[in-house]
Amino acid sequence: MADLPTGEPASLVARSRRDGALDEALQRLAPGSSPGRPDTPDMHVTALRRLPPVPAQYAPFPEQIDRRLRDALAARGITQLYTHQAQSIDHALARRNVVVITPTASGKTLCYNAPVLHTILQDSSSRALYLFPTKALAQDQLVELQTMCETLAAPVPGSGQGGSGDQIGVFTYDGDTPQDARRSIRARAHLVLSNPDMLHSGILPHHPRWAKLFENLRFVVIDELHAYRGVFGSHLCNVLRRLRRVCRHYGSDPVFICSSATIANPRELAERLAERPFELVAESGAPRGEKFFVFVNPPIVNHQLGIRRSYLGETRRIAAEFLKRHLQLIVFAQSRLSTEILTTYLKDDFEAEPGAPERIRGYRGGYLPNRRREIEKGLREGAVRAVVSTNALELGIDIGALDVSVMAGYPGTIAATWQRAGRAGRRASRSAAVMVASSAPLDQFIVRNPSYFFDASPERALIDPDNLHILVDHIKCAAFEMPFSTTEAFGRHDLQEILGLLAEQGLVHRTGPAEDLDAPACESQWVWTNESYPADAVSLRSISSDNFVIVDTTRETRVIGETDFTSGPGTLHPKAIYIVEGRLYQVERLDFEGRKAFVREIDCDYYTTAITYPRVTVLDTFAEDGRRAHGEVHVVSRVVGFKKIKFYTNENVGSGELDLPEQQMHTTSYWLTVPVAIMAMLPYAADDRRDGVVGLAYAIRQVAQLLLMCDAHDIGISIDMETTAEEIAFPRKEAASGEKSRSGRSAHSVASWSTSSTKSPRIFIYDNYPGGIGFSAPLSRMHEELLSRTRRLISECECEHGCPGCVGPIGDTGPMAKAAALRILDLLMTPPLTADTADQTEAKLEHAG
Amino acid sequence: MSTLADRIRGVLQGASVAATRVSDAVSPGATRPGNPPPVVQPGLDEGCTVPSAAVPGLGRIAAPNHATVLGGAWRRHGDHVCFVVESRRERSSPHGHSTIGALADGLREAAEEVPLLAGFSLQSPFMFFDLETTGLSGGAGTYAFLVGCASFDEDGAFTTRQFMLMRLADEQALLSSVADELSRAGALVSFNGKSFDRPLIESRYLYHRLAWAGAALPHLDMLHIARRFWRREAAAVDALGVDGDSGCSLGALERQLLGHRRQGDVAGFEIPQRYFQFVRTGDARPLVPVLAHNRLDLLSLAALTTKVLRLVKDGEEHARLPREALALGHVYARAGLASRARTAYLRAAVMAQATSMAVVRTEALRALAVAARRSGEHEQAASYWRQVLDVRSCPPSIARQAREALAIHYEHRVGDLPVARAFALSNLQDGPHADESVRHRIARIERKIQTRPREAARLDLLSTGSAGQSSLDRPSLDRRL
Repeated sequence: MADLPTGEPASLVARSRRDGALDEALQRLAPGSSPGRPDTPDMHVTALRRLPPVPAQYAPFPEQIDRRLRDALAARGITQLYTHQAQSIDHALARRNVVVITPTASGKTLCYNAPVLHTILQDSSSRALYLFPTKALAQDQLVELQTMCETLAAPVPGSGQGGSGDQIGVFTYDGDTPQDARRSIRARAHLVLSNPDMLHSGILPHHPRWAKLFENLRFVVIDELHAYRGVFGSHLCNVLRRLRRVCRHYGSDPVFICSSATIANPRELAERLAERPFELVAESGAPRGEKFFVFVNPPIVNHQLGIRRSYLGETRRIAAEFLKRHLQLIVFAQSRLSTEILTTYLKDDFEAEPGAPERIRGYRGGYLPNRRREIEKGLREGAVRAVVSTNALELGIDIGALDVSVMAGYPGTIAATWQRAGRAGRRASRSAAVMVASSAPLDQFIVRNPSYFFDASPERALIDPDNLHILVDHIKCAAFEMPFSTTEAFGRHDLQEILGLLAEQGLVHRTGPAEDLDAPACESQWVWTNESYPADAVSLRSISSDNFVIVDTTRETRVIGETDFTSGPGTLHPKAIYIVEGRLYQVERLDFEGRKAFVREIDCDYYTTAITYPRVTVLDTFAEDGRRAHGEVHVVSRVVGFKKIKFYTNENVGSGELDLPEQQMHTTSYWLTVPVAIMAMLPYAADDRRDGVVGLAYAIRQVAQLLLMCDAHDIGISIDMETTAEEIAFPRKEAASGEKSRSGRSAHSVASWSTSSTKSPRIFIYDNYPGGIGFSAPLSRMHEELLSRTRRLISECECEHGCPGCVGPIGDTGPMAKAAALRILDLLMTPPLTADTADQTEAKLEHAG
Repeated sequence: MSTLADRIRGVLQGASVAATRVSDAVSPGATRPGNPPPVVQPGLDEGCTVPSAAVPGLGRIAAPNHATVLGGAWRRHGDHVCFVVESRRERSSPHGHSTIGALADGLREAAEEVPLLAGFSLQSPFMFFDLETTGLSGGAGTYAFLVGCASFDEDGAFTTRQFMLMRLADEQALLSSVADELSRAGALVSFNGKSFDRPLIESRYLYHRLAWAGAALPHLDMLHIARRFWRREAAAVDALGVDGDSGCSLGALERQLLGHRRQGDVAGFEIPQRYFQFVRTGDARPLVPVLAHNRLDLLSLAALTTKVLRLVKDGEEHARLPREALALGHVYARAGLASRARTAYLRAAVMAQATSMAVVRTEALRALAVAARRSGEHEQAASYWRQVLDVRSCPPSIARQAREALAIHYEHRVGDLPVARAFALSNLQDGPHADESVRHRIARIERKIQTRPREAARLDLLSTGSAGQSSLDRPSLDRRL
């Protein structure tokens, strides 16, 4: 909401003092060295962009807006709208679905609150449903909306006019809502703030109790639309199909209002999710304060091996520069593990006096809600000076206006990077965002090509709602909610055929024409004939709803966290170090069947990363075109061991073997075939050729992630090199990313390609979810771009023989990996030799050689 | 390339394994499609006459005829048609220790006591009400396939109408027919209906956007009442390994209270499967015992209601068990009949002492103490509280309440500060439960003692005497008093 800058001199002074401190800290990051900075030698800033302040663009209130709402907004200091707010309100009130792109702090809530409240004021039977990706965001909104509704209900002073009288009922309805409050909420709520999970398992299956809501549902608001990509988005699309089905039954047809961070395809995403046409409001009219954006590449410490200084260490130093100057900051880490490591580092540096409130906090999923609320409050009130967080704080949880956002590692997508940068800085004050690149290829690509980040369009969000695993689950839920007719459709596949198969399982039954001649005639339909409650078995956040809980047995037995099923083996294997806010626990026992890990607090100077090996078998090829293909695959992955990595130095101080149950899945995959003929053309020894493929896979995986706009764990990679050879793979989970690549050659990476091999090596990039999530077909389409970008990544890298930033650390891939990978790429990108291209090819090969 | 069907089968494989495991765990040897359950047709509700309906067109149908198998008929209610099974138990027909006629008479005679029990008056006729559903999980996919309604006729016979959902598509007609049936009723009587049957069927009415027919009817849920009268002591339940309902399931009450033993009854968990089997195969025979089960539930519900109302009417003298007397005390107290309640509590306390039922005795004495204090008989109240403390294995929370009350009594009424302090202190020693108010009370008593020097002297004596005592030594305290 547009709070106008106050003219208080005191606050101006405070602001300029902050601005000064910020300038000073930024000075110390700038390129070049100065005698006054012995602590920051040759720090490498590759980009420093100043984003100028942007003035506000205002638009008048639409004429039709209810007077009472305008008065209430005026009472809260809002007398005019930003342009994007006015446009969104216009669309929504004209019953056009709208998606609005909203940078942080641009007053997005008014875009949907205004049309919703206006409609309820005009007709108090109207209802609206708000969906937020997390419970915490709904709680945040509740406070704001309730304040607004109180203002609306209160008589307007001086106008002689009463308020709207009856209070508009605003309630959250989620897993935390007490059972005894639910009935009254169903009866009284005009506005229900919930999340997709609750809609899926708590509201839709009980739709008769919500008849009043569904009969009068005028708006569905989907906040943080960009959060719904991949599995979560695919599930949400199906939940919305069910929602629309229920609405049809009760005779309503709600308008959708969505807000999204900047992504390449907000309208497409909205249209795919809601399966309706949408209007797009892309231009924000909100003002923005001046912001500095800095890219830092940690300096190389060993040129030959291309090893850079630890990005976590650099992050720690940069954070310290700001902390020292009393600037409040948020540090984003890439994984739960690095969050804990950074929290430990910063706590060491800025230890609070014993008994004083902690100034440095960690924050991530898996913390219990109370702890999270306490940290958020500490940030808003300023008691917490720095928070180290995973992407858990990327979304719009209210943590107040911070001064600086430091990202330890490239967040993986352009959109997420802007989101995280947006957590620092509000309308009027100066702020800074610093991205410290890790040695991962993706980070290196971005930090060396700042224009790719600053000038290119952000990524596209992909979903695949017709993934059979997901679709079938939701068809069960929908059949439970209401019988299907024999002509109905649901999703892209043949619903009637799927229902027929569900009938074989005894889940549904197609009622025929009357067998009993006395019975009245009725339509044939599919009815639910099972005692179960299918929504309970479906989790929207992953394909499996299973999880592991972590039980601390040090003193009394208590649960200290949880983790999803797929990351369980990698993070909770026996002897693994599990970290919560800097406290180290060692897993003593993993009860795989009972889904529990028993841990005990220990004092040690290392953490662990798991080594995971996936093996891929092709089940079905959907399309094949020369060297590219995509299809269905079977992936068997197993955590085979772990390494102990020393804090600060990242030395590998030990390892262990593990024997954990395999995890299997069917999924979809893209794969690249390196023809045996190309392998034979390589002027290298067999082992070096092998290294070339491994190095190529290492680099190509990163570029694929870049192109797909997905998280690191959304895709997995596997190399199929030789029937006799063991496959090599790169650990796909956070538990094994980041530093691990620096830790030396893995004993397990032994595969060979002998010159006598007749089998063409294949590199698989698979969707890391059962059934696939729609990455493989687009990746196959982007094959050419994938290869050319990968080539650029490798060839532009400054290292001599390979480094973590291109084909992987030399210790892992061998001395010729870089050259061999480049040669393979050149040969792959060369069309089959013809007379006029032969010269070019020759030249290219020369260059690569 | 695999076909869609193959791929879906692959997807379903994992799920069905889990589903099988679950259903096997719940119902060993449960009915699966193609494996019909044994059709049990013993004299389950003997004496019940289900008129074999003269169905038009009988004989035309080769498939098993529902009307013949179930003994019902398609009936027209206004403009909707519903399958109804009607049956009648005559006055002479026995049920446990009683007969239908005796139950009818008993209910009529005791009906005036209903306001004491329910807090509101109920109009006759009472409609006994029980659903059979496709599951217990709730939600839109759980529906009632059988709505059983029963009442006593003018002539004392017991008539049951069971509205049967032959196809889900007929649900709206069924609900409308049930609405017609309920419109004749003065009150609804159910067993756990407030928590289960009513919300479930109410949501079905909402689904079809019809008004819930029972909305205007007063509703008496006998489960809660039965729990007050016949809940078993926790210890007894543990010893018997009885399920979580403290022996208050309708089946248990029917056996122990009404003296009826069911033969070949269908187990509750089997019922949804039997219905699904009927839906899939069209063979109604597995439902025959389900209908009988529902009729028996309705009859036992009626018998139970009669039993409770009679007890309320006849009073505590007729109570066989201490808890019955205690429950009567609560019934009377809630209805504002203070002196009648005290008589019942006294009786409960006496009966409980004889049978050494500590929990009932403590509860009765506490109720007496509270009642005495309300009517200003403070000495009497204090005496009851002291008796509470005398009960061996008195629950700690009630003991705490007693000492608290006695501390107040001695501080404010008697003015014996050291004794008051002693009671308060013993609550403090009680451990982690001791809260602020206890400390506050002790501090205040000590302030008072200090402003009264003579009392202080006595305090020294007393505290020397009682030093080291972890709990109040009753005889020595009494001597001092």
